[in-house]
Amino acid sequence: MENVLLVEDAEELGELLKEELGAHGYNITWVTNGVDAVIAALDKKFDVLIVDMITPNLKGIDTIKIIKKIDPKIAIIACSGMIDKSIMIDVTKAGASACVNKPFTVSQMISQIKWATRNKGGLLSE
Amino acid sequence: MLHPLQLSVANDMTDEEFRLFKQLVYDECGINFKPEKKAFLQNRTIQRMKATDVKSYYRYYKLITDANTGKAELLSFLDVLTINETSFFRNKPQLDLFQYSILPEIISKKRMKNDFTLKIWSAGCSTGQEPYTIAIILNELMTDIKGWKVSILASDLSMTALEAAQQGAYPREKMEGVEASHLKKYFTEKDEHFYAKDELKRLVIFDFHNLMYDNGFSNLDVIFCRNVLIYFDSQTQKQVIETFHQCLAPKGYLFLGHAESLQGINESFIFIHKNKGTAYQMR
Repeated sequence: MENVLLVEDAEELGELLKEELGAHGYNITWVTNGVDAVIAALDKKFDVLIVDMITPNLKGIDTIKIIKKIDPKIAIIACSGMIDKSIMIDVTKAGASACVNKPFTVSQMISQIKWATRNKGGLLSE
Repeated sequence: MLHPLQLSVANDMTDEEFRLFKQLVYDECGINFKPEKKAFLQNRTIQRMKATDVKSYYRYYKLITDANTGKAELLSFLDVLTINETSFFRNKPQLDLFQYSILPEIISKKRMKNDFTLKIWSAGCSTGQEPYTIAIILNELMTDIKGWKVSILASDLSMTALEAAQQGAYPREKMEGVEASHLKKYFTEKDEHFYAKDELKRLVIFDFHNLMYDNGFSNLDVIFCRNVLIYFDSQTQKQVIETFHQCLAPKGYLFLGHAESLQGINESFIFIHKNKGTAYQMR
């Protein structure tokens, strides 16, 4: 099953996703900020990056750009409580394959992971 | 095999990395690195990364932000960013204003009040040339200095600078600006170095201090804070000047660098200008 790097600073949501996605067979590495995500991506190969757009130190968009540079093939899902059109354009340009509005259900996230891993290069890669 | 980003010690800082460190430095000590200072920030960061054998900006960031183990290295990092060039008798017209106008006035007023204490703060003293310059001036002007309780409080954010200041040893080339007679009177020469004598050292108290935070100083007669404000953004400048305002005695004096001004920052001071020397006095 896929290795998933989850960047989420809200403790409850991070723990829930780690547990629930883990129960569905994903190997979850959960970090709470952008710098830890970059370091994790330098140390280990991930198939999927799920990143909250507002996290401490690095902004979500910067985390996406940096990790995309480390691994151009990683599938990226951007999450936010307020994904508007301009954020959507920015993250898509940065290489995200999917954007998810909060709140979301676990099954919605799993669908997004499946979708994103099929479109790894990002929505603009075609 | 190392990933290319892990080898980024030799690499230029990306915009994301610059933003990350810039924010950290701002949060820690209020210094605002403008984009044109990116090369400086990058070079000093690399210097510390080499010293700690860390091979990526992100790992170094993690090292210095670790709440448990990062404090010492964070100080070393801020240290290399804040160490400043300074010299003895820097900005002579300003020191002349201090020596020949302001200081005699303060002293005569105090003598009349039977108050024999004098408190001066050298904020951002770097390697000590400014507080020792002030000590020379006081010794020259106050023939009865031994009857006074004089404190020159000298602070800086850089521990390396403070250690050098405390030692008070300067190579010959750093002594430019010190008159030959003062050199002989206040320094001991040994092995191509000049060592500040006790009559200067006993007047100066060096201490680590971050201008972002309160220091407990009060009733100061004079504050020297020259060429420090230029590193701060306007919000932090306002905060620092407000701290100075709280620390100064009524009608106390503030000396800033020649490129610095209180215009638009604080209205509680009067600008003084005499023979190219400038200072501010509390209203």
